[in-house]
Amino acid sequence: MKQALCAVLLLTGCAPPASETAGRWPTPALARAAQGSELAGGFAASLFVTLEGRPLPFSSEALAGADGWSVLPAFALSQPAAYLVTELWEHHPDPWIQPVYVLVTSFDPITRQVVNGTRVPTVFGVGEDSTFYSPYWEAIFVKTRVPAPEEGLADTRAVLGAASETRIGAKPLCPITPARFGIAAAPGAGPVHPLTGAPIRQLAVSAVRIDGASASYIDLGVDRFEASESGAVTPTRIFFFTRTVAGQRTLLELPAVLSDNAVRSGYARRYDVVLDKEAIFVPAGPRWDAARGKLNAGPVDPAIPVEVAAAYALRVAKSSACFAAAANFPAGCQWLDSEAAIEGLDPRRVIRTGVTMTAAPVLFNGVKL
Amino acid sequence: MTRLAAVLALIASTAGAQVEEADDNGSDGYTPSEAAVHETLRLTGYVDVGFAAAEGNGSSFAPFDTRVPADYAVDAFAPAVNSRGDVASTDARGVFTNGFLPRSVGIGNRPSFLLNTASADVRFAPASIPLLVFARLQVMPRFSSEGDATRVDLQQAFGRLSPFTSHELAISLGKFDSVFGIEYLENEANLRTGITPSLIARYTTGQSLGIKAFYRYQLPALWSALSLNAAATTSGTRVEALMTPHQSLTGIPAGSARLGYELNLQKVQAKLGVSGLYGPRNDQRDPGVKQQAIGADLRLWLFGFSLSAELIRMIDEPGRAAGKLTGLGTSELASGFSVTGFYVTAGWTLPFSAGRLDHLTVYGRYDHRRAQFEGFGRVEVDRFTAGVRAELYGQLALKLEYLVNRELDGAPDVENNVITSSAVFSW
Repeated sequence: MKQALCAVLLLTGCAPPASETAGRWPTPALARAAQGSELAGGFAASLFVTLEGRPLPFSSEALAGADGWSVLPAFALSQPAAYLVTELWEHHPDPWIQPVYVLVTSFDPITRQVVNGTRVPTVFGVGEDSTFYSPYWEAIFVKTRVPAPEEGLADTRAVLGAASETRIGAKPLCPITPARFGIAAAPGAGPVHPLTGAPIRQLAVSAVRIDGASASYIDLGVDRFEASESGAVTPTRIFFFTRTVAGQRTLLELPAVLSDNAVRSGYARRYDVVLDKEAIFVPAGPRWDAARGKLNAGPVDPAIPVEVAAAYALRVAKSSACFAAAANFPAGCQWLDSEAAIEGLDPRRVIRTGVTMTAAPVLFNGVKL
Repeated sequence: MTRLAAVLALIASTAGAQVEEADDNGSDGYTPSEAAVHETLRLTGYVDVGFAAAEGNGSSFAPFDTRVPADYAVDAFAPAVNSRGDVASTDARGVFTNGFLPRSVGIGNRPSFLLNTASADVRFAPASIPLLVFARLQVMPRFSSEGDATRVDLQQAFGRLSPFTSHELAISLGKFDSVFGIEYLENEANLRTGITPSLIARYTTGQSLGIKAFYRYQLPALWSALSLNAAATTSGTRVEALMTPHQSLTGIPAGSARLGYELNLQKVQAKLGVSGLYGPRNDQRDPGVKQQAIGADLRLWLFGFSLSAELIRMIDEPGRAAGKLTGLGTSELASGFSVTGFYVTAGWTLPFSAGRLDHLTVYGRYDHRRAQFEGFGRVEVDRFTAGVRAELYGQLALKLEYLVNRELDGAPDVENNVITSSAVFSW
């Protein structure tokens, strides 16, 4: 009936409601959103990008010395892990692999073109402003009829016009970034896991040409995502803990749980795990007072060794009973710190969302990536 | 075959319709006499048979250009082979495309005969009432890798009322031609001087469904007239491969109109017009996401020479939700888009006829298109077209045309020139 009325009132703008709005935030957009204290996909953007002088997430007092991706704590395979979020999409189709053209003088071994001691920039096929931008690339190595200039070739058309021979290469994960960017860290220090203090490898930007302009990117390595034969990137899962408060599902400031194959599959869909009777381990001590209050966590045995407590900080257990005695900790606990453990929950408490992200592990199963 | 048999049955039943006899009081009432029906019922049409060959792989896609969507990075409409704008191939070699493709005859780079279109018009216009009923049904036999891909299209079906004898006003309701620009007037192969449409025809010549009003005001002292052609339709003016005309996806129609001036002297005719389009994009469901265009057109006929030109600037706002729906199916996203394009066509009908040859016309056209999808590199292309048309027996047009497609910016250079021919038998 409403639709029929709207059909008559053509000039009044009466129309059915639009479906969910698609959103996307490549790293530069996350940085702008963090600047404006905006949300991205239901998260505070400042969680993923820490601007210079702002507090590093999950760190008690540390401030970032420069703009960069936040090192986010996680658990995977029952071990502490860490990851970066470099892009976020909401109600958006899965991204596709895009080409990156690498100018070389030799295929075997791969030898990049160099001019005046500087590598000739690669060429990305698509920039961050495109609705189809993705950080998931397929390298196409290109020998050119004449050497490229120092500033490189402007765009795909220039590359293919200059090409004498091409060869398909590996698939790197390379997010486009602002010009001065890296992994967020305290001034004068390298990036670290915010809970355990384990060092994380810092990364450097490289130059790229896109549609006649220059841009920057960071190479997170090859074989970091999976895709179908047609080139659509396929997601794994990343689990975030939530509680239902006044009928609304509320995200908790806790480490996520990465899937078992997160290293090989850096594109992940957010799944919300709704906590019920589970308990959060917050170590004793003044450093954790604020977190204990925010998370409404109960007391723990102060005799639990500091280094053991740090490794299990903010980890979710099925019950708090094992927190009460150091002798029983951590072996007496059943933790939700792996994909398998979460799969053991009632499936109705594990909720698929419309949010996907590049969640690239930088520490996984004890290995720095 | 089943579809073709149905079409032929429709034509036969219409042509041989039996009518009831008049009432005893001699009044025709709502049932005109058989003689009157045959005067007011007209069946016309044409068959367009072609032979075409395209360079390269018949498409505009380049090897090793694996940017996605592939159709954002090239002009897939460039290697056209017939008056419908069908291209030789839209094979992107498995690279993902996003709903910006034309229809294809699927011949690739293999020369082939083509039955481009078999078209039948039925027109009913009784003398006693100012009403016209018109329908055009077209069959396009095609083949694809999935087998027979023959299409049947009810291209137009509308009723038109001209309520005033003292004013040239016509109101149409149904599915009808575009009102934007002038190229739509040559949509059909028997009417088009050349073979292929311009590089901007995809934006201006699509049929759509809705209501249209045409009004012409004569200025006899100036041998001139002003006209206004305005429509509110489901999709606007784009071809059905890009936007479906069959329903409104947003609940709000798109408005389009052309304001024209014409000068009609004995040896010289000129027509000028400006056109506009505004309304929701009909390739997605959000009524707040708009399409808009402005255009200008010019036609001149002087002593056997003809010159026509058209210019368009079009902008599509970006869709806000996933999903893009076109006449070719569902795609991922309706990206923001902008295009500026124009064409200029010149023709000369040679001032002689010989035997069965009624007219011989040579023509050339230059097209230029610069377009960009949101965040994608700009694609700039142009095209040189040259051809000849011979009219014989008053019912047969033979045409030969060569297209030189060039990629100027954004799209990689590819071999996508086309030589095509067409024999249009009209009845």
